[in-house]
Amino acid sequence: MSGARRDVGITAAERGRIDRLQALVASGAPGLADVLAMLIDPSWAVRREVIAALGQLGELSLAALCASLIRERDDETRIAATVDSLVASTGDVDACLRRVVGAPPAVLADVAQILGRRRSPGSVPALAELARHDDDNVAVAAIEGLGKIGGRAVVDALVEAVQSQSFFRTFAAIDVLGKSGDPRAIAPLAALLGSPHYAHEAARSLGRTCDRAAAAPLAALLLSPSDALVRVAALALADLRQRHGERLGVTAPIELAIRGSAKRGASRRLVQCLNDAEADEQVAIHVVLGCLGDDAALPTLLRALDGPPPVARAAAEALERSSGEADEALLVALWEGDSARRQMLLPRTRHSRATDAVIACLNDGDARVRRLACEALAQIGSRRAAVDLFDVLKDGSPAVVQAAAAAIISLGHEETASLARAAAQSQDTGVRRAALRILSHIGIADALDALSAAARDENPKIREAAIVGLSLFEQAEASVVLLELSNDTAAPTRGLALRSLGDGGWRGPAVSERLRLALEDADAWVRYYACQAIGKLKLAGHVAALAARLDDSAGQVRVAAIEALSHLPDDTAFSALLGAASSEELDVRRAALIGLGLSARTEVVGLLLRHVDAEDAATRLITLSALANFDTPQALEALARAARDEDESVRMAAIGFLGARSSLDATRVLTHLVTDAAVGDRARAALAVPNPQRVAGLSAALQTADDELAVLLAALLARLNRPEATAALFEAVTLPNAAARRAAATTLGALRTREALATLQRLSIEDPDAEMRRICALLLSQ
Amino acid sequence: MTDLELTPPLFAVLSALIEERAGLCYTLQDQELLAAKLLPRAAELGFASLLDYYYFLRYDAGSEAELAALINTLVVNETYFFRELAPLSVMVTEVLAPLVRAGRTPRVWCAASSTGEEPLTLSMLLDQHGLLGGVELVASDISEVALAKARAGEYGRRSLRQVAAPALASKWLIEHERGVLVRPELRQSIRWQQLNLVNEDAIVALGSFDLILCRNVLIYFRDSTAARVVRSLANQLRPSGVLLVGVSESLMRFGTSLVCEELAGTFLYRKAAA
Repeated sequence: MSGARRDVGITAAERGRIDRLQALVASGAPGLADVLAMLIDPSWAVRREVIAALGQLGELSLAALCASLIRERDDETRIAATVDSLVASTGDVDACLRRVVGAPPAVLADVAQILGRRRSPGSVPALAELARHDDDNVAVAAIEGLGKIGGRAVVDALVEAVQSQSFFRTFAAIDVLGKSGDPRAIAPLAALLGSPHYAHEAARSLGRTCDRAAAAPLAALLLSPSDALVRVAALALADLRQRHGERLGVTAPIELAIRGSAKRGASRRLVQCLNDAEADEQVAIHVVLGCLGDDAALPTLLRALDGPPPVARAAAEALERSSGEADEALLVALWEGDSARRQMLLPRTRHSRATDAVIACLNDGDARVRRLACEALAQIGSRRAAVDLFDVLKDGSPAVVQAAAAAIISLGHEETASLARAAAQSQDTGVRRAALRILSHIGIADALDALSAAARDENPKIREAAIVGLSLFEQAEASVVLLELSNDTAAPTRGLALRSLGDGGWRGPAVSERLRLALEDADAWVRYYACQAIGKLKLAGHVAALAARLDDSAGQVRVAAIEALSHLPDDTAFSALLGAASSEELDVRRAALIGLGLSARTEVVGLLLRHVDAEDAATRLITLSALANFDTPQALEALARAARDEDESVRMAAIGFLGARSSLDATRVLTHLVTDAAVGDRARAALAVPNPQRVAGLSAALQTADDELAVLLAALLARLNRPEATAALFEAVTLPNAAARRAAATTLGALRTREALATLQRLSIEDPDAEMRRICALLLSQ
Repeated sequence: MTDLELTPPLFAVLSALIEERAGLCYTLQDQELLAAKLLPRAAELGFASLLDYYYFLRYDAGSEAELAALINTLVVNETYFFRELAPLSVMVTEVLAPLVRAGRTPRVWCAASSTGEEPLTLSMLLDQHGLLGGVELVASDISEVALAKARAGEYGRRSLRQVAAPALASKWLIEHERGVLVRPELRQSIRWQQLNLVNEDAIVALGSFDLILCRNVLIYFRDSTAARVVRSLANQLRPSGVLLVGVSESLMRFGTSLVCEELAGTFLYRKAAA
């Protein structure tokens, strides 16, 4: 799948030149000069191919490319393409370029760009040197290059650039320093907050540090006489909070830091700055108001509930985090608010004191509000609300009725049974259906009579609700009723009854025989549900009859037969699945693949692997879900490859399956993905889910991680929030890998438990690495 | 027992089916949106699981009606009167008027016309230039519900959110308390037709056109589907015929044989002369 060329948008002439290029590349060294000449092809599509080809030639083209970079400076297209080729080269470009000394500034700027884009840590000293070059263009390119490489090693050079008093260098370094993840970045950035030239950029950069120590200098800006600076500070604080939450799983440390460091008047100043604020600034201001927890800001937060959705959401979340007077204000807002405001508040309403206000929302004109009110009542758990919810069963919106029924079922009330019985006699079909559903779920014995009667109602919707409900009863009488209905003259009734027999779990001879006969029913959906029920009940005696359905005239029956066979541990069933795995019918094939996955027989892994590269994404995804059942190296490798599939659904599914595997190897695969631009977020989310081998896997990865990866791995250990993960962090500060030690120390600094601080104290004195001692001392001082 | 969860494999097969039948492309980001549309339909039909619903759509002889109803709920009917008016005006004055003056009756097709505001706007402009009776106008959409609304001509205030041509609005739109009603003679100047843009045979059956409008629709398709649709539309253009897409859309990445031109500040795609 990946690697297939898509010729969308390439003309015939371009195709011809690309074919010539490929021929030249195949000829090796003799064709090199002509390939280089194609760097100035007028077509971007062709140049792109030339760049890739030169990159692949590696050492063969390296000398010529470097020579061109230095000497052929008359054509911007050639220069850009040469730079791209060197970035892409598989040769030792870094060593080659590091020898380029004394070249003109324009060349050195390109060298810095190339080294940065290649992200080679070995180039840091060379780039640090270039960051001190007299020419601003060279220095800025080097600073940006250092930013691309990242890691702790670049911090000193960046701090030097920030403090250089040179506008261009300082500006470039500010951005990069904020992303370094190093606590040494905070002080130099904070020092720039007083400068009119750099304050805004430095504030934004502090917001990106994810470091609690950035909160105090940013909070100090909230009293600035400049509205613009206050808004930038709010944006930065909101960013800081969000990033901390994403990285370490908690936002409370940042909220506490903001609240602890903000001075009196900060809330008032923020409210003043709402005027003329852009939408994202308004959101940030409300987030920070929530962090400050100042009751004086309540009216503003409440007003914001009527604002644009992002602002209203931020205000609602801020109110949710508050307590005391905010609870009271929220109640009032719920009582008096319009539908839009109520929609914002109801999902966040969990306090039992709000019950009456939420019940009032059951009469709101907007169906979404009424549905949310039902869900909120279920969340609050106030049983007395069940009585009011019965009135909602006659609502005109099916979604509201469903939510009301679900809430009634979850709340439980001494009157629920009697109210449900009464509602089951209603003239309103919707009310009766809901009441039957409630009766089915609350499990009272005498409800069986009501459902049995309703199962023969002339209204098909009532019959459906009753037949489905009968499957929830354990009494044998329910199965008798269903067996009788499975012979009904109406095919939908027969089908539904068979489905319910399967759902109900009755496996007696009468049920078994009825299902076998139903496989020959004239109606395709009856046969479908018969197959389904046989599978659910695992009636192994019907394998042959199911296998005969593989030739059924109805497609859904063929697939249902395969799905049923998947649940039967029988060699004949297994053979049928193997055969179906090569079916020309896509759905039959997919169902067979899933079934083979369920078989847990390792001999199917090879077959599954053949389908992992299927042309359509759905089959690839389904095959992966089947492979996920197997704990073999080949299955793991397939999942790892699929994590880079061209289809996003397949990638995400593969990462999910890897995350669910409790093995060191699976964690190892995921750690290789955490810095990937496309899947990094998902990989980190998967790794944040605990399993027995997770901590061991992350610890193992820390042993060889570079700065960038180590920071993420240490944060993941913190995010797991388990004793063994915290213990692993303490252990990581003793690893031979300096990057791991620094990352672990920084993370312990963020946790700031007594043990963490004591460890940092010890390391600030005893660690053999000077930089580590500096970092620990800095973390302690914050 | 019901299991109406849209699991990743189910999302994959259902979105593939929808794309196959209607061209609409749903990515992972749209999973919740798609689930919100699918679940009520599956529940209403009495299916206990989305897998059962999928097999119904895939195999049942009676599924076409349900598929059409599902597609009606999926399509985004985001259109209004006088939307992107300037390019429409250019089409009337610079493309259609010369053809009428040359004695021809140009054929125009508004593909994916949704609830009809675009072809009705075009009709107003044609009338303004005395061309309404001299142009054959066809408007199509995949949604019968949208077409029914277009034929009925009743619109809410939202369809008038941008009245860039008040004189045209006051001539053709009768205001009432709930919204506006389009005068019947304008509605009747258009032939409304249900059509699925991924159905190449149906497109061929429409015949050839001097002007095709396909604005702000291709964004809902995967690139490969959009490229196929563009090819189908291009095939139905007469020599020198014009394809007009939305002002923020471009066909360059589809490798079309149509040539991009600028005409009075409007970008269009023209088929080569014979």
